[in-house]
Amino acid sequence: MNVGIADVVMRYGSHEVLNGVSLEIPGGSWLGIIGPNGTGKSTLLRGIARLLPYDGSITFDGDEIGTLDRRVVAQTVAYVPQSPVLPEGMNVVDFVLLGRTPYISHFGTESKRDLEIVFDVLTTLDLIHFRDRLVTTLSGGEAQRVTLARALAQQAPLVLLDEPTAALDVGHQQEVLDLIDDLRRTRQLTVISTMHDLTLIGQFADSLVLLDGGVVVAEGTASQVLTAEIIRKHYGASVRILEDDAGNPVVVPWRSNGS
Amino acid sequence: MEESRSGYLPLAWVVAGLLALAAAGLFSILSGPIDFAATDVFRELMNQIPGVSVGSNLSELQSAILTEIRLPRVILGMIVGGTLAVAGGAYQGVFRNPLADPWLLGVAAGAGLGATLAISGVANLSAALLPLAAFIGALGAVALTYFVGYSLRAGRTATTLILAGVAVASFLTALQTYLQQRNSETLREVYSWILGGLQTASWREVRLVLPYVVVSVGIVLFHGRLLDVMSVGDEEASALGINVSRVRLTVVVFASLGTAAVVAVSGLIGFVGIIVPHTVRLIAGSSYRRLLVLSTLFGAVFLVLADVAARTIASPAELPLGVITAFAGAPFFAMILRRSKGGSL
Repeated sequence: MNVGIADVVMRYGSHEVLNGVSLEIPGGSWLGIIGPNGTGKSTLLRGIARLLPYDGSITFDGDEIGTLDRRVVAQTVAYVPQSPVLPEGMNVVDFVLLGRTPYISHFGTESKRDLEIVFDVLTTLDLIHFRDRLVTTLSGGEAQRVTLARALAQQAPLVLLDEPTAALDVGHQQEVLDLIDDLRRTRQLTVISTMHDLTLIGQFADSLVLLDGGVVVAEGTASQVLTAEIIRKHYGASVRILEDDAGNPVVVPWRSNGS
Repeated sequence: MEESRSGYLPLAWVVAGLLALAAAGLFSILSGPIDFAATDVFRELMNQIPGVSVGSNLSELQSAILTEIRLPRVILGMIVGGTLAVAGGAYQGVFRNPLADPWLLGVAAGAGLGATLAISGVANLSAALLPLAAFIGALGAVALTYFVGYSLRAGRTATTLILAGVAVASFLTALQTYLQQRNSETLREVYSWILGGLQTASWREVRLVLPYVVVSVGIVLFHGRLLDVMSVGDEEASALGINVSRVRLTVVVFASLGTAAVVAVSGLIGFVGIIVPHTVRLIAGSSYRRLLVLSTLFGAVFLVLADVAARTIASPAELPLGVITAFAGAPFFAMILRRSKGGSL
């Protein structure tokens, strides 16, 4: 599904967080949003999920999201927050079943079909043996996968991930990103994610957008965006860029000797 | 697959709740200064069903005590207990706060002010209008809390509402205390109403509150699944397609409506809305589909039993029911908490 963002302005109170952002995200692609802290990455994701008000235009396949029904939006976008709330006393099956909410009428209840979809997703993500576990007893990596399972149960063509690897060690980071990439290919999902780890997002996303001060300051492929000059200018960081086997940039923090 | 769900309400639990309710009801009817044989009570109850007549061994007076005093008191106790408990559970759900209940948004303070106005005669209300005055006071307080909460710039979050409720409740309580002190001749009467009880229970009270309770408890019970969705927080629930503020408003309005109606006839019986849902939560799990139904049933059981204690402990005098619920409830609750090792609050 194609996502169009045109001249989007978003505010917290009178403070402008995004100041005219325009992007085109082609269906089936993975867009990585990067940028220093407080530049509006998460705010933009919340705008696309219609969780915050915005000025300008955000469209799904040409439909302005402000005009869509709340449930239609939820059937179209699955939003995975940075630290998902894990409710007390809820097991994995019921947590993933929450993803079916947009398909259940107000006072309705989950159908057999909803439960089958959940069991399918749990099997796909190799989580079926976790099904009776309370979500509060899961480790960080397990909780991340279970939240991803909930997003998949939502069967939305667009998946928004806010820092999906922030709480994970390097092994689990690769595992989760590989999983997302795999799902994106098999289910033709469009993925938009924010990330702090520049190397990792460069290895997985088709294109990157760098936000700074509420505007897009660089966009393109990883090699185009992740240059030492751009990172110095916008992050104030001293880095060197190496290359992995696939030619993707590897961003290495560099401490100059003694100065 | 259904059995592997934490949000699934086993029918057996509902049946157990109904059986407990029937047993508590029968126990309460049999308890009192005049002894009845269980079989006679059973016959008399059968006779109450339209079209059934199985004869009676009871004198007219005994029959009247049973059907006009004890039976309505038991039924009213069930209605009051079930409503207070489910309203507390529902509030805890929409505010995601284990200490939330309708008291928190000013229901008790508003009802207390309304009742004080009626009893002290300040507003020239007749005593017969006491329930109405308490009812309007309770709902007025919640409306005021919503108004204050929504007009705050901090936004329409659950926390803002709770803080607004604290402010409104303090203000109304101050007003109520002032009126109470200015009219000290009615102090005792006001005080006794505030402590709560079912002494005045008759079929009239049952008929008075039943329509409000049926509608409000019914609507609240239908929100079990939505409250489960809301347990992931406002933002994620919105992302799942839930209109969070509308669900919160609906649940608060109807839980408050039911509470206001029962408070109007029973006074301020505290603690039921906190202790019953938490006990259910610790034993049966946190899913609101379980919690709301079981809280209704066991809230009714709890209050009927508490009322037996209130009537019999210092017989022939009656203890205030609000004192009993706190006196018996607090240690029981502490025990449950200890056994659960503080696991799942």
